[in-house]
Amino acid sequence: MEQETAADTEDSPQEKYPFRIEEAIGALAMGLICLISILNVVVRYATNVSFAFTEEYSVFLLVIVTFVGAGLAYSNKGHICITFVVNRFGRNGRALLNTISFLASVSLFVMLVYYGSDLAIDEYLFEETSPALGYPTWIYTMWLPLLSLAVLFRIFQVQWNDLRKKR
Amino acid sequence: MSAHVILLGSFFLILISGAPISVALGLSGVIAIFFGLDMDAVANMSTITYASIAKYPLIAIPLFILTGMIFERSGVAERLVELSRAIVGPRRGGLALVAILVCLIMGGMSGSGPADAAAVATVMIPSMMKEGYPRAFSASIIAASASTAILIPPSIALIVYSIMVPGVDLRALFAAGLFPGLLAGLAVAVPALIISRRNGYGSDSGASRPPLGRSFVRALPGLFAPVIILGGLRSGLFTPTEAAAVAVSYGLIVGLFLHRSMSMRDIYNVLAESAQISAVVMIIISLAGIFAFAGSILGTFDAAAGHILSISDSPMVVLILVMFVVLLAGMVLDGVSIYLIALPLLMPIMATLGWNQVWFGVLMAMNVAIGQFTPPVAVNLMVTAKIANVPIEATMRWVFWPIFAMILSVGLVIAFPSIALWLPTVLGYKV
Amino acid sequence: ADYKSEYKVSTVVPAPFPWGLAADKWIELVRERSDGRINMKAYPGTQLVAGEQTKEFTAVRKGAIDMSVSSTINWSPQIPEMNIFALPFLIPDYKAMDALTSGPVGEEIFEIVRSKGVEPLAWAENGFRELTNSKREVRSPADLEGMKIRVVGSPLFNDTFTAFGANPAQMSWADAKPALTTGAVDGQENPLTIFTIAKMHLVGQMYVTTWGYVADPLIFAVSHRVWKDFTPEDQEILRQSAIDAGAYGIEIARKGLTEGDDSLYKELESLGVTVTHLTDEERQKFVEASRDVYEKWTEIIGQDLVKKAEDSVANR
Ligand code: NA
Ligand code: NA
Repeated sequence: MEQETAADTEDSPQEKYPFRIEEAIGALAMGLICLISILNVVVRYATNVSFAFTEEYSVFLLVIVTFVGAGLAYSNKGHICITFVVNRFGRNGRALLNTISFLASVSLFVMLVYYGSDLAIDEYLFEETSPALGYPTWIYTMWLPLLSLAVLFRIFQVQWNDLRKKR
Repeated sequence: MSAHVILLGSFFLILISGAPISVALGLSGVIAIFFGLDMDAVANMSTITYASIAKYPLIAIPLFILTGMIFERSGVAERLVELSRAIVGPRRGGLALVAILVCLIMGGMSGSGPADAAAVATVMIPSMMKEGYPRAFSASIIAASASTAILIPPSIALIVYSIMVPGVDLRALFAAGLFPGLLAGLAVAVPALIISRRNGYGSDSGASRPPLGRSFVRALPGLFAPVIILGGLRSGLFTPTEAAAVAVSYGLIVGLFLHRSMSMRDIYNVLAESAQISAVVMIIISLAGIFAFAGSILGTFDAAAGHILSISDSPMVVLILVMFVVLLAGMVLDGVSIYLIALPLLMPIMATLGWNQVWFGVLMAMNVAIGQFTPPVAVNLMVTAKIANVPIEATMRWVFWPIFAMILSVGLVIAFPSIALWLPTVLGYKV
Repeated sequence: ADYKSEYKVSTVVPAPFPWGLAADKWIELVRERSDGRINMKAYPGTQLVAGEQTKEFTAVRKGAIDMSVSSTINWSPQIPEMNIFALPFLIPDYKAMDALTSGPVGEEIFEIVRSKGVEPLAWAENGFRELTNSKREVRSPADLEGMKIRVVGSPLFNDTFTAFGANPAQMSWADAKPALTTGAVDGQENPLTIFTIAKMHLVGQMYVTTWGYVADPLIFAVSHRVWKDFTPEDQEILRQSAIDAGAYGIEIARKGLTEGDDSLYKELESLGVTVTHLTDEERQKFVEASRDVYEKWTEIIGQDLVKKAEDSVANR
């Protein structure tokens, strides 16, 4: 059974897994979310300066954290899954269920790449602007298909490694 | 085949295949939209995926996850253990009580169970072993008491609830969770003490008792964290998101300067790990948006709510039934998924039967907490069993008692809603 | 082509808000007049785009939403000209609002919407947007200093409130109520019908300032993806029903807020809410504070259209 990665906290995970670029991006985005949130409190109580516009950045960073981390969680087997059913099956049953699970993840993220690009291109062509800061929205939205593509890469990588191990 | 059957059927099939719960939610939603509506509606999935997480109040989730991890890494747990030992003293079942106490206090800094469970298990299990507690017993007790982290504020589960149920005040929910959380802690402590006494776990001599005053001073920076979080909210000074930001800063100050237990490298690690743990929660929220979209637009939730309401005229019967189903769901699903799947259909029921939203949110959170240490899928138990180096199966005989006692405590909160609602009312929140 | 068994109509708020009532009226009239051949269902809370109301127009254009009754503000991220109604203090009264929607400005806006793949049918109304807050009575920009105000839709609102000295935060209606409840924001701006029906005094919004700084007309619209499938007769049914539902919607949106009938203000006061009607001099201070914003956004919206609007208002 794979569960939340807190399971791995007693040994140092930075040595356990090879360095992955998503990890650094995730840490950076997380750090920025903290920094903006802390500044938000300080500015709100210490000054009269308008700072609420930063919410648009925070929300975007949250999307980055989510998709970058979702890819990592495939590599680290950190997603919340139900595996006790799979483990009850024999070899063939297990292989079948694994295939279903693999295809489910792949098709979902392929669709996110496709419809995400569709959305971002549409926003680019129609010059849509963001409600808070008035920036072109495609500069935010394009990361949905791009990072979904990165997630797909991790899904295939994990599947490839698992298959190789079995041989 | 109706779209309802397609939605639920494909969800269960993908779920049991071992795919991430998030993927099962998202893909079954897409499939049901395709069969129930058309391809044009499917195209909406990218907007929904993005919009479901692009919400500012959700920022509190990664911030509180990070807060929990920072306090876990900054050596607060050890100091709290020392203080608890000084208070409890050497006695039969003493260390079990210490572990439960520390879990409750750590729950006041962390918003989710597993981090709490990991921190306490790492510190407590070796010393509990020395005093003759079976590993599986220790793992069970710590997993159970760590589940109170989603009741004692801050709580990721209650944040998700407040976002799903419009108009409910998160501060009221946080306050309402405190006493049920302590009650749940008591529900773990009573069976733990009885079992320890019966079997003679823990010595009443042996280990020396740390001096109370010194332990208290050493534990003070940690004890201060729940005070800042609750006190900041109470004073109206901070919104929940701001309280989270302040708690993160305070945690960094404690770790870097007061305890001097963290390096810059540790901070990077904590950021990276909390990003991934947040992502696992957030991707569920994101993709469950597609499931919720499908369920509401195809009328699945309305139909399900209608069925539940038609079962009985008695609100109490319906409530107990709902609680039972949530409890069963908690055995196999994580808390966030339960909220996202169940709330769209429970909200109309809540409105029809006139249940208090804050009270019901806490009742749901109590069931979700029980689910965190109920096999087969038990996030907290996974963590503690791994640290104790025992198979999950070995915890079965011990974990039964806290499960049973916590179900009783849910019954108490159902019978006496003021256990939850008294504090937020006194603090002047809208309940 | 075959008609769908049900057409999805997106709105932000349901009945009994005038907005939701107008949508329901449209649905009812179309069903009657088409003898049940055209079935529509309202989906409030912009739930068809996961509550993200500023994404509504794109979804309508692409056919993910069939029809909508929409605020011009929520469509402004895709159609900058929609910001015309949100130019601070352009529209002094209801007569001016009617002059805009039924005059050359309304026509030009409809032409733009049509060119982007959506058929606009008629106007309805959300109302003049008034300021409310939980802190204090607001009579001048100085009273607004530092207050965190929830706004919608467009950076124009950010600019306006920043010019008033406030601290604006953009969020959807779904997020606004919890934010007001928890004090994450101190105030908001919306038509007063929204205030009373949503019982915003219960979340501490005890101060109302009527300043009518911007108006919020609504548009009945159908995606071209489904519009082209209707017979000309049915297109006419949809259009005429929208016009009739719009007239009904405008009537209820203005109820209790006119000189002859100020019952809504009375209702607010009976709830313990402090209602502040600005004098002309007080209002002028806000007008002056937002002058630069007006100029800046005239450039973005297009000088010709703004000129047309100013003329319509002057000759009302
Ligand atoms: Na907690
Ligand atoms: Na469980």
